[in-house]
Order: sequence, then C-alpha cells, then structure tokens
Amino acid sequence: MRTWLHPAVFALTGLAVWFGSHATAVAQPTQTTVRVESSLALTVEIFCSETKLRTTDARIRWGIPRTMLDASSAAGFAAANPRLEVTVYKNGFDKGLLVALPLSAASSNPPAVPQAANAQTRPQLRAFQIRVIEVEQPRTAQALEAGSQMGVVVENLEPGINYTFRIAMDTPAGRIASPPATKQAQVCPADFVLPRPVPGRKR
Amino acid sequence: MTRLRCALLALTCCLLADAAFAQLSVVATDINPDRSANPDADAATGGRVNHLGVDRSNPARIYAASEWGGLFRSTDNGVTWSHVEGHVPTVTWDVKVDPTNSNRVYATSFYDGRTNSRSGINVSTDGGVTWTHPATATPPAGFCATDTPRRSEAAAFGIAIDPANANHVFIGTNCGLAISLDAGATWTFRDPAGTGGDNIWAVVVHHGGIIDLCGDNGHLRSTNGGTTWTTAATPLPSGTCSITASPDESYVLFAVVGFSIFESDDGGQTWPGTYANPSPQGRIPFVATNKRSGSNYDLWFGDIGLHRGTCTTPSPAAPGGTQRCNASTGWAGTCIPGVGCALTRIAGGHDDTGDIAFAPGVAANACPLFYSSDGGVFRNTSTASPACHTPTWTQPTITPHGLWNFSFSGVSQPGAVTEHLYHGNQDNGTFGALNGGGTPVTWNNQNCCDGFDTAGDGTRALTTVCCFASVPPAPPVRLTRLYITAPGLTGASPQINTYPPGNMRMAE
Repeated sequence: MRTWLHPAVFALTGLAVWFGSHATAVAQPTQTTVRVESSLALTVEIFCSETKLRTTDARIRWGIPRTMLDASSAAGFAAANPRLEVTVYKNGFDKGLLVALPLSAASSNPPAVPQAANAQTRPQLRAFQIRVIEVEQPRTAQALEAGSQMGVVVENLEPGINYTFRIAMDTPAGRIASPPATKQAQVCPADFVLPRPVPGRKR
Repeated sequence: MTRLRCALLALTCCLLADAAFAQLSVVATDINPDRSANPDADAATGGRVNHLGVDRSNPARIYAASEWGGLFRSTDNGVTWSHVEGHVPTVTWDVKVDPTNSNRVYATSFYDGRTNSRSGINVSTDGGVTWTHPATATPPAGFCATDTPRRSEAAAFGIAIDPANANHVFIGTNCGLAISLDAGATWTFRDPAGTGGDNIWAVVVHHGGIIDLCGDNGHLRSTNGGTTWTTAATPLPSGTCSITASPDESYVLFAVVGFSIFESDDGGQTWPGTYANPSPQGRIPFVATNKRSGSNYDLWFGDIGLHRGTCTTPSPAAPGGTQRCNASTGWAGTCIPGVGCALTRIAGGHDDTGDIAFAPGVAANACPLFYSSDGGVFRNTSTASPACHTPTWTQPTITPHGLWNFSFSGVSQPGAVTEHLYHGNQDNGTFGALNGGGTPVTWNNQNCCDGFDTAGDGTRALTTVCCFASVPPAPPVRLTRLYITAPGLTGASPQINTYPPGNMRMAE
C-alpha cells in the first residue's frame, strides 16, 4: 500500500502485536477480561453539530506512543478489530452493557452490537443510536511518526447522558483497551423566532 | 507661589478629595423589566426558573429557584414576585416547603465560585427571611471519591420530603444522598451505589417512606430509610434525570434520563416501558404524576413543551403488566414546528420547561397552578377541574427578575431621565428603553429568544438575536439575525443581515 493510510495501519498493527502477549482470553461480555493500556489515554470533546440542529457530537482522540510504531505485519490489523466501545451505564464495560463502533470507516448505520449481547444491553436505547461520522487519521507518515493523535467523531449523542468511551481491540492473546473516559453530552438548544405572532394570544 | 505653598495646596486638595470619596455612597436600584408586552410567549422577563415549591399550608405562597438569580418568592398566588435576599447562593436548583410548617423551607444550589461558599443545601426556619447552611450538610472528609472538588464545590439537586413524616428530608447531591431526620437541622450522607458518592439528581419518597432516586448510577430504591439499596441488573442510563411514582401503585415508577422516558412496573427491577418524547431537546426534562378520578392519573412530561398523558391503574393492581399510560400515542400538548407547543408557547407560557406545581392537599384532580420554564414562572388562568388540566398560562404582573444578561449598553442623553438603555438576554430576548433614568424604566421587549448584543447611537439601535428561523415545511435553519430599529427598540425592526453569513454550514 502506498496510500496515506498505510502508516496508520502499521501503527494499529504494531499496537496489537506489542500487547498481544500480555492480554488474556476473551469470554462473554460479562466475563471479559480486558487489559488496560494507560498510554492510550483518550481525550473527549463534546460539541454541538455545525450542520444539524439539536445534535450533540463527540470527538474522541488518542495518541499512539512512538514505542508502539514498530509494526510487523499488516495482516494483524484485520484481526485486531479496532473499535470504539461506548457505554451509558455506570461500570457498563464491566457489566457488558456496551455497544461497539468499528473504526474502519465512517458510517451512517447504527452501531454494531457485540454478538454476545442480550436484550439487557438495550441496543435500541436512544442513547446508543450514535454513529461514527468521521475518522481522523494522520495524513502523512511523518505526522504519524511524530506521535500525532488519531480520532473519531461520533454523532447524535443524547443530551444529559454520561457517555463512557474506550478504544478496544482483540489480539491473539486477548483484548486490550484504553482507560475509559467519561463525559456528559451537552444540550444543543435551538430556540426559534416565530415567523409571525400567533393570533389571539394575550399577555 | 512658592514651592512650599504649591505643595500645601496639592496636599489640601488630596485630603479634601479623600474625604469626599469617603462620603460617596452608591445606591443600586433594580430596574429589571417586570413583564413583557410582546405577544410571543417566548419573549419574557422572568429568566430561567428551574423548580418550584408551593406552601401547602398557604398555597398563595410559592418559591421559585432560578438558574442564575437565586430564589424568588410570591405571597399572592404568583401575581408578583420578589427576590429572597437572605438566600446567598444564586445558582439555585430546587426549593421545597415543609408541608406541615410554612416557615421551614429547603433550597439547593450549584457551586457559585465563592470562597467559603454556602452552595449545596440551605434551610430556612422563618419563611425564607434567613437561611442556614448546616455544617453537616457538607459530606464528611473522605466520603466522596473525588473528594476535594465535590466537597469544596458542593452542589445539591432534587429535594424530597417524606409525605408520611415531614421531618424526613432527602436531597440528591454531587456526592451521594443527604438525609435529615430532624427537619434539616442535621444531615448524614449515603452512598447508595457504593461508588464513592456520585451525582444523585432526583429523589422521590412515597407510599410510606419508599425512596427512589436516579443519577449517575441509574435508579436505586430503598425501603428501609436508606440503609440498603437495590437496583436493576440493567439499570437506567447514567445522567441527569427526573423520577416520580404512580399515586396508586408503589412499584410503578416513571423516569426521564437524558430525554428518554422510562417506566418500571416492578419497583425498578426492570425498566421495559418507554414513551416517545414529543419535544426532545434535553435541557432539564421532568416527569410528574397527578391523581385524577377513580383509577386514573396523569403523567406530565416537560422538555421543550409541556405534555400530559393519561394513565390507568389496572384492577386488580399488581406489579408487571402493560404500561400504565397512553402517552406515546396520546400526549396532550402537541408541538407544531414554526408555531410552538400547545401547552406552553401557544398557551401563553415560554417553552423549555422546568417544573410544574399542582394545588397542594387535593386528593384528586388537583389543578396545575404554576409552571416554570426559561421565561420565568407562569400562572394557570384556568382554575377549575377538568378545564384546568389543559392550562392557559399568563405571566405575572411582576415576574421574577432572573434574567441572564448577555449584553447591556446605553446612550447618554440630555437630562437625567431620558437615557437610552439596551440589554440582551438568554432565552428572553432583547429590551430597549428611552427613559433609563426614570422610575420605573419602561422597557420594550422587541424579540424573543437569545438576544446576544445590543448597541445604540441616539438615533437608532442594533440588536443581534441568535434564533433558529423555522419556515415550514422547510427544515429549521440556524441563523443569527441582525436588526435595526428606532431608539429604545421601538417601532419596526427590519432585519438587515444574518450574522455571520453562513452561520451553519451545509452538510457535505
């Protein structure tokens, strides 16, 4: 590959290989053991959409330390299955109450639901009707090597809900994830001017 | 004149100026507008009011907790309002009156940035004249997971008084649940979820002391005064919330989290029921129930608009079964794009709800008396059931003076009275006056909604209003509008621009 995406693929692959030997096997979501990689700390910014009224978005960014940039094989990328995991429940990751959004590309589709999810996860919950609309990746190999951040923009958060995000991926030795980051979705109000006074109203 | 004499003269002048300054006094006079003459109900003067508290022993007395202006009180059924000077914190959330003692009032507030802040829980025992901030109303050291900011920047939210015992008071805080068993004199804190004292936004106490609350840990219930707590395997989502109970069935609960409405028919063990939000926005949505005749009751819901659903208790009453209300299919209070919502803006009350208060001490069919929103407090002019349950709202003669000023400007004119004054406000619009030095100042409320900036030059005035123009059937478009008018915002106000151009970009 000679596209600008190539360095990012190697970065993610390197990440998967670097931690592969330290993770434990993955079981059902409620029994999943996840190794937390503290250097993958997320930053979360909540903001109002500039194109859609009353729509709350989130930009989640994370950096890949330079020590993880020694990639070995692009084949590891597909197996790593990098995704943004989201929960709106306190300790929701531990309880398996989460949804997962693939990070491969922006999508207008609802988020993917873990196969082991049951009805209690409530994938139809309004708070989970979010989607990735933008994937931010370094544009040049030089920028990636400098340790610049990667990120995603998620659309349609429910105002007032506390969202907890983490980046997760599967390695041959188990699942790894960033530390969780929690932010409350803000309200994006949309007052409007009446085109004309409502007839008959008295004050 | 010799140098010595010059120096003595300069010194004398300084001393005289110093003495004059020491005698200088400043008198600040409240010149807030009292009410709006604009026919649009979203043009108002009350500012954002979050919650209300009606005195059950004397229903003519009501308290209002405003978002930025502190507490307000009316003693004449909401016709006129005055500021409660003795309550220091200004970022208030809730206020409730002891149903057995008019003099005892509880109020909650967010942290206000003061050193030695009294934010959080305050109690009055003289009808709001003076207030105490009990030492035990601050969580003990080490109680909160993130101890320092939650204790030093205390915040408190929803208030619940046990109907069965008015000495028992429960308040949600930013560090767990505060409980008083002696009418607010002393407080203890509980961490219901065992997670280190998280936000608890709302509490309801009902049916002989059952406590249901919601917040960062979803919903939790206690049936033993807060000693132990239960929650669902899949709890409610984490976030700002409101919760209430059926008046008939202690195990039927309604909650709104974010702007999603949920129902539980088994005491919170599961939350399978949901209702469509007819006017989603999410500023501070609330739910409330109001007993009607026989097995019926109303479920009130507020977000942008105010809505009422009809609910029925099954016979025989038992946990489980179908959802109790027809709300998803039959909410009263339809919202019409470009016009407003039937039970708020169209009915004379500002959109963007805060709270609703019913006639206290009425066993069934209690009329909604007052409603609070981003425009202040509004009174129901329909006072008899059943008509009153489809309210018609009117603003007070003197509204709470709780405006959130975005801008204030003026133009000096000859004379002490004829000064031109202008101000713009969050939610309530723009105001202008030609007699800024008069008593009273006569304000003209030109526009509704978010008035960001105002300026004048003696011959004309400019105002910017950030409203989202909606011209059906086209989807709403976001515009910031610039208007030019005669001085004092009188007469016609043609729009001369949208600012900045292309304020909202089109999706690519």
